[in-house]
Amino acid sequence: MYRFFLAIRYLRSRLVNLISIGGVMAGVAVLIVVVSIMDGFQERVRKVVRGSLSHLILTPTVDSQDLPPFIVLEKGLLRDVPDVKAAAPQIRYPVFHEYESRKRSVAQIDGMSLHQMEAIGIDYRREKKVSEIASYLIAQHSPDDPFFHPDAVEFEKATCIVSRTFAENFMLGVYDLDGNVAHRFGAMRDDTSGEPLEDMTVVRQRARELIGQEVRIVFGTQTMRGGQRSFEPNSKNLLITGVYDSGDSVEDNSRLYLEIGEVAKMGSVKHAYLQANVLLEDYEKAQAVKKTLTGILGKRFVVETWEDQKAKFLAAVNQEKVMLVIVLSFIVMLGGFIILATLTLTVVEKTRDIGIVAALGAGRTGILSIFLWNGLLIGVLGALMGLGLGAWFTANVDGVHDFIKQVTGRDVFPPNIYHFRSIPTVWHWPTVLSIMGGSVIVAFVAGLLPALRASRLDPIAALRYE
Amino acid sequence: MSDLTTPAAGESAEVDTRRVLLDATGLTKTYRVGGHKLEVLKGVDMQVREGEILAILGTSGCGKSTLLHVLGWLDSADEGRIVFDGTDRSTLGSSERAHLRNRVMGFVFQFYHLLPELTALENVLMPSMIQHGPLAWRKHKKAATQRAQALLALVGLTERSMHRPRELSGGERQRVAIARALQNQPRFLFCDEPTGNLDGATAEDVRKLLWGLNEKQGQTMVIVTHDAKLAAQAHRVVHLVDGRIESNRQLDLVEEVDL
Repeated sequence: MYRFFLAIRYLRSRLVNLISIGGVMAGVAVLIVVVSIMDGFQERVRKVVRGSLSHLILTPTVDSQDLPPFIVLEKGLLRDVPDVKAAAPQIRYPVFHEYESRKRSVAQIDGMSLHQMEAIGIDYRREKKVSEIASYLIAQHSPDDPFFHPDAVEFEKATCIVSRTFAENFMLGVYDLDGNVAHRFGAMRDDTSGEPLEDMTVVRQRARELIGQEVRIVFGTQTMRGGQRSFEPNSKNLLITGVYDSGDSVEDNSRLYLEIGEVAKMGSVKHAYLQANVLLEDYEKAQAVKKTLTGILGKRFVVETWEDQKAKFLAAVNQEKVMLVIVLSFIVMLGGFIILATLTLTVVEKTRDIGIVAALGAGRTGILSIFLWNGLLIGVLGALMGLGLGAWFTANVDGVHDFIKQVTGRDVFPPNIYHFRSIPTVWHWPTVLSIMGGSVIVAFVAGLLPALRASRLDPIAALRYE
Repeated sequence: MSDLTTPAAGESAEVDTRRVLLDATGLTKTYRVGGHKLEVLKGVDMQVREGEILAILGTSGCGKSTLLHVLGWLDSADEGRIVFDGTDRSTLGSSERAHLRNRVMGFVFQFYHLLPELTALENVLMPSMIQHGPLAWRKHKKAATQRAQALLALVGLTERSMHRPRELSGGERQRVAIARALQNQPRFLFCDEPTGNLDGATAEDVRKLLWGLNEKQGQTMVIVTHDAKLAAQAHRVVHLVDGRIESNRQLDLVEEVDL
């Protein structure tokens, strides 16, 4: 009984132990916060990247004349592969957005600047089944078809869906001619501060105002002239009929959704589709289905899962997490060294007490346990306090972020670098518990050396005289 | 090789029939102080009978504390044999020795040696806490606490039971230490200069307390001291001179060096 009892007393009577506990607490809290943010980041990245892709991606490797029409491919997939739920065609084509730049830092030609983008041609009816596009839409003219607008039909205009981020950066809005509206009509930024709007009702309102405005794009069209393949520059005004937000503010900035036929026409692409996105019943079976499909489709298609396509990016995110955990683990190590130092001091200071307890009949193992308990208690208390601090920090991460931004004037999580507007976090108990457990083990090991030292003291030498 | 332990003057005629509780023969102990050999015990033979107060009288630094530590199994002798109530020290391992010390031996030191973080009551409870593991402690806690309180009452410190050592006077601290030594009802009490650090009146209080224990409960005690007046009141006095027991020396020889 005395072991635990004395360990607690020694813990309570020494202020330096608070430093040890604080050291462990800091390490645990920082690790929990960072791992929660990195896990959240990883999860959000996966969700967003996957959201604009699909489970499996089939890329044709053959000439257009050998490519089966999409309807045939779709029918075949649905019939022959039971795990396939839906498929959608896609063509991605590079375009430039031409705009009037107000920034001197942007290269300009006759006052106009170019912003490189990817036009993603989709078949909306099919696409909404295989990707998250439908849930990303924050404004659209027609509820059934985000590419529909009566003006487009009347004036024979091509239509497009732009992203919220793109609108923030390039759609400056127009002043309402009637003067009924106080703000720049369709601008996604605050008129005075220039900051992106955050209130979703206002964002939706402005997004609706964007519909009917136009975007000018420049692109190359394939032509054959005298047996020579070449690209002819072309340009087009697109009518905005929808606004979406996938949550990935970096990717969104250079994406533009168009109808697949429109993109094929723009680029004069002979293939009816350059990519087929496939949704499975269960993503767990992706590897098996991938194998089956590779067998059926042979060399006409490359079959990849979405993770295969983004493998490098996902690995980079994971790598960043691992690196951070390794680096921050040193804080816990440091906590261990503080424990080692303070407990060593305690043992030296308590030499006489150790002799007394030995004289009263405590064995070597008993004295060993007093100080082992001491280290363990510091570890457990530090880990629990770190859990509390880490949990609070993780729960209030956006508040803390705003606070840091206010105090230091620096945005430590800029959305144009980290892809997201808010800081994502995930509370994963097994990870949190293993961080705590690891710290307790470090504390225990740090206490081992002083404890062994205490147990090896000669009680008589310890008692001898004052 | 060594002198026999003989009864002090006045008792020599009687034949002591009480049981021998502690029997030590041929104890030697040598310290090495930087390459220099220091023989502290040069063959000590002595016996302590149940219920007696034996005083070991010696000058400062003559090795009487070492002898007490060896007799109380805190320290080991280089040679010789100690049998406590039929158990030979050499037959036990260190944890068994610690256990036995906890159960049957009590120690009172010159400098009290209380644990500073603990209250008087907790200090007295310490031997019981060492005796019982965490599970057994729950069962024994109540009885042990009652006993500790009774002992504090016996030494007249009921009011001080919640005080820490630094809030107590020297005499009070020594009385707490005595209560602690008695907590596990030891067969044997070892006192190392129990009054050495106390002023005259307080020293006498502590002496009376110890002698009272002997009168009421027949507590066996070995007291080492350089104080001839204290030693004179013991049932039996042996002198430790030059690492050997010399019981027929005159008391006044020791008194010369008494501080």
